[in-house]
Amino acid sequence: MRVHASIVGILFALLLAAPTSAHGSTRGPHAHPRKAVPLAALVPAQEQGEVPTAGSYALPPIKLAGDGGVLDHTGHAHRLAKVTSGRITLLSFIFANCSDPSGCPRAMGTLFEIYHASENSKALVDSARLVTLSFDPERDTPEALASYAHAAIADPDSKRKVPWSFLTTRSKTDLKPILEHYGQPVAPRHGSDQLNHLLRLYLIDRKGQIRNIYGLGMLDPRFLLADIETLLLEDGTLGPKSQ
Amino acid sequence: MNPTSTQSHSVASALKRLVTATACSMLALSVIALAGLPTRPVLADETCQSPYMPMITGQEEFVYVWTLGVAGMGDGSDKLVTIDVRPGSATFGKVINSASVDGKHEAHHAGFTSDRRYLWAGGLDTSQIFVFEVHSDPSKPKLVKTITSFVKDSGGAVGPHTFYALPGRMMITALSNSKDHGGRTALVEYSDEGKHLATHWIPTEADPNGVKIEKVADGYGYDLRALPRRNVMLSSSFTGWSNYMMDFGKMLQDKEAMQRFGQTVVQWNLHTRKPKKVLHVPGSPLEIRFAWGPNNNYAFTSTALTSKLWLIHEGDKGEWQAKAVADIGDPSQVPLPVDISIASDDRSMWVNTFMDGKTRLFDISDPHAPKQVYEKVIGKQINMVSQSWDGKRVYFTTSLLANWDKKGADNEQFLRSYGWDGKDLKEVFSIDFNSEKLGRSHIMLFGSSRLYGG
Repeated sequence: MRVHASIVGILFALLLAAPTSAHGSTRGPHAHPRKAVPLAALVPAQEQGEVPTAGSYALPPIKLAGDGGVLDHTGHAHRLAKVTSGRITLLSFIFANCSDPSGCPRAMGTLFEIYHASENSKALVDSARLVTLSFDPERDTPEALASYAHAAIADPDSKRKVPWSFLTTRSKTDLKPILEHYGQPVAPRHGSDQLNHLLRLYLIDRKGQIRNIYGLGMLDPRFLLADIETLLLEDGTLGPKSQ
Repeated sequence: MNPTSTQSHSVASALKRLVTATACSMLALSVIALAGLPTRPVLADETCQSPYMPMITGQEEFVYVWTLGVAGMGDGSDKLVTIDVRPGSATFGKVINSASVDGKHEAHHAGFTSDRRYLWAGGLDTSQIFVFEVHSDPSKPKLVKTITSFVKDSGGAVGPHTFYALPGRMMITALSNSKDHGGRTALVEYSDEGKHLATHWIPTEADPNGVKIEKVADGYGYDLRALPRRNVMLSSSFTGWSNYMMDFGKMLQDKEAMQRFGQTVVQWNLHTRKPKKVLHVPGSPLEIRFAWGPNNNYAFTSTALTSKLWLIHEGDKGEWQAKAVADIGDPSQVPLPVDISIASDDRSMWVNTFMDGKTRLFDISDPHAPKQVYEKVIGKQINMVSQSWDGKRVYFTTSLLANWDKKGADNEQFLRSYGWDGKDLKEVFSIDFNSEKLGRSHIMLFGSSRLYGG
């Protein structure tokens, strides 16, 4: 059962070893570009086409983000709503054993691209956050999550990148209301260790309001970065030269 | 129109004369792996649903029919009718549930939320939206919410039509507006919880909103579909409340009314919801169906008045464009194409024509040159067609609009199920919605308990 998690772990290690960036090397404390550039330019162009200009469109609040008791990878307890407020948050639901390349690994790949790209943007590091929450609490214990996320948790450059929280819950009972709120139905697949679920990522503003929800075909990281920049422009964090 | 088949014929003749008289130019009428993860890409009429929702690629268990109530027939109210299509079931091919709403609202189209747990169904006349919960017991959908504030929420949009699921949200096309009940209208976005999020007015020449206009921008709306991986959303165009609620025969005699039909398809930026280009597609383009193949960057639509299939496609330089690629029947006879249903392998497409009650199968393996390969008369009138993911089962219903359906003996109302063996359609069962006192059968959607772990 851990084979899948190991594969994902290796994938993450490779991603860490070879970060993709439109600006070449990303190491060092002075990597933040002096000239303001769109956050979306931090990652290479992808299939989804021309990325929109941040701030040129609206992201109306959809609803308040969900709440509930969660555990981090060290086993410490938190309230999810507290974790997903104060910073602009990208939240994804995953389970470590997911073997569908277009499912959880795809979402994690997108988050990893943003994680690496953040090294080039002080605004992202200071204002954004990544959160990954398991919907498989029985197998994804804090210890299992720590193993799953080892490549990110042990990244020596993590202080220069956007913070990333890996969370799980004590039980399905604790998890259920969170999934209900987020509209994330999860059902066991007959004769398999896999779970039927919907691929979703959530963009949450500092006030804890869901501002966008991404599904398959919408995970181009440039679009997510444009949305984050739109919120940073909206709340005044970003000015023309402050990135 | 009066209730005889002779007069239905005269309506057809009038329609033909009118379309001919206007040189066919613009306007005249219209018309999981359950074995796999729902996260799988764009494989979700089952072949015509939003790619964001779980799909049924195996055997569907239930067909939901959003049905128009008829005064004096049964309870007279619009209703969501459930038919059992589980092979071997004691109630196979029978109506097993009927969930009525209060009164007649001109039931028309409906769509699932992106988690497929709820079904939203619209009333074109009253602009009410009925939300049915389907996941607790998929054999018995329950009405759990009615949104009565659509016109106010949207700032004047009227006639909620297409319900297209986006993650956590419902994008609704309207057909009209409260100011003049004409065709100017909008896309209206709600959260899955029923909170209005935004209204996106369809561009006009007077209010272009930065859009590139190919020839005209009428601001009309009808259907909507998206191709997420290319960040493209398309909307088509029909006509406003003043026409779709008018008696069909009367409208045909009203030259001004006949000028009020859409002739555009609008390309939108899916991410920003901003219009990008207004394509000229004369003759009232109705349903939009995107191809499924990962490299097939195109969609089809059919024009009701001019009886043509149109290809909306992305050119080599990334510019989206439209071109007529085939006639549907004999356009001079105005067969009135209505619904279309694309196969999951992008190789064929069913095309229904209302006036002659025919379905036609087109080979679309070359999307630039579709060819009709089969046709069959299904009934006196047909409107919607839905096929299973494997294409082996095809379902048909009959009602276009309450005031546009044929009269008398020609006013057949049914759900008819066929098996398709690659050569011929063979009837499996038929349910007469008139004799069952249900009403006028309109859009069909598939259900399955296996979507919810059943």
